[in-house]
Amino acid sequence: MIFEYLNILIFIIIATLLSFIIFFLNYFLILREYDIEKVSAYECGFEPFEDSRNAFDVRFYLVAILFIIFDLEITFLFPWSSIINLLSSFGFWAMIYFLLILTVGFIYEWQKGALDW
Amino acid sequence: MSFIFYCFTIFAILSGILVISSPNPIHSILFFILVICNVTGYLFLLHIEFLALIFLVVYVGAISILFLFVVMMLNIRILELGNKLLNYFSINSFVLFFLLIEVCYFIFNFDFNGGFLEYSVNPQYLSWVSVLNGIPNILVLGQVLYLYYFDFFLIAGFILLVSMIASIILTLEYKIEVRNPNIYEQILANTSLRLKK
Repeated sequence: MIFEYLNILIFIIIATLLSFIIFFLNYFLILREYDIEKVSAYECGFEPFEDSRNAFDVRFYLVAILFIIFDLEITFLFPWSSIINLLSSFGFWAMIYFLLILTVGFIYEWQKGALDW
Repeated sequence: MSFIFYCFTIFAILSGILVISSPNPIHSILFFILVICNVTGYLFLLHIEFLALIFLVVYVGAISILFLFVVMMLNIRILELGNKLLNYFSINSFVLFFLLIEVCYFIFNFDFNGGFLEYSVNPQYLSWVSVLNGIPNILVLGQVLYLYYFDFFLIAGFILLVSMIASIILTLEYKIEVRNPNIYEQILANTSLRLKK
């Protein structure tokens, strides 16, 4: 039933309240003194030269996308591992072939040096 | 119950509108995460627990991170969002047309009486206890996916393989000199080889 999730709802409410309390308690309890130097931009004694949002290396993106692929592989493994006592051997070998296909990709990326940092 | 349902739906639609209308791309990604969280709650109300958690893991955990990377790599400043929404109207309506056809097909062909949620395909393993109590969502999915739809399952594997190879080919076009530590050299080093004062 849907009421089994009541505990989770209570946890979500408590977590939200707690994060709000921590955030705003900081705001109210702290000693505030406004100063023009505090809010000015400062970078090693200079005015900042450029925007702080730099374009960064594409390798981070590669690691993230490889993470997603293996994440989806584990997603496919999870129902399989919970039902495997009811599956026939066909279902078992279907997963083995699936893993073989992905292992080919894994070996490819390893040999290609995509995992080197 | 229906109050929570309407809350999730309205929040999902509102944050979906904010995804496309907020000028800052970072903010639209955050609203996208909010959309997915609301959809997750919606799927929980439909008793599709496994898909709900998968939505949370894949979309919030992975896809939104990818979008963040894309935004940071493209180095987009805050856009001036003027009357540009109508510029994409032709391709938007094209996509929307097919989406509408899919939704109509789903609505008119879906068996609402019973159907998907308490669905047991494999009659060989039909036990009345599990029928009366209802088997979990994930076990239903597992029974169907690895036996009856194994071809789609293997095609999904091939799609993952293709995406893996394609992302490697697209991003590894230049070979960087990677400085890996040589472990044997490090172990064999002794103090006589080091610089002394």
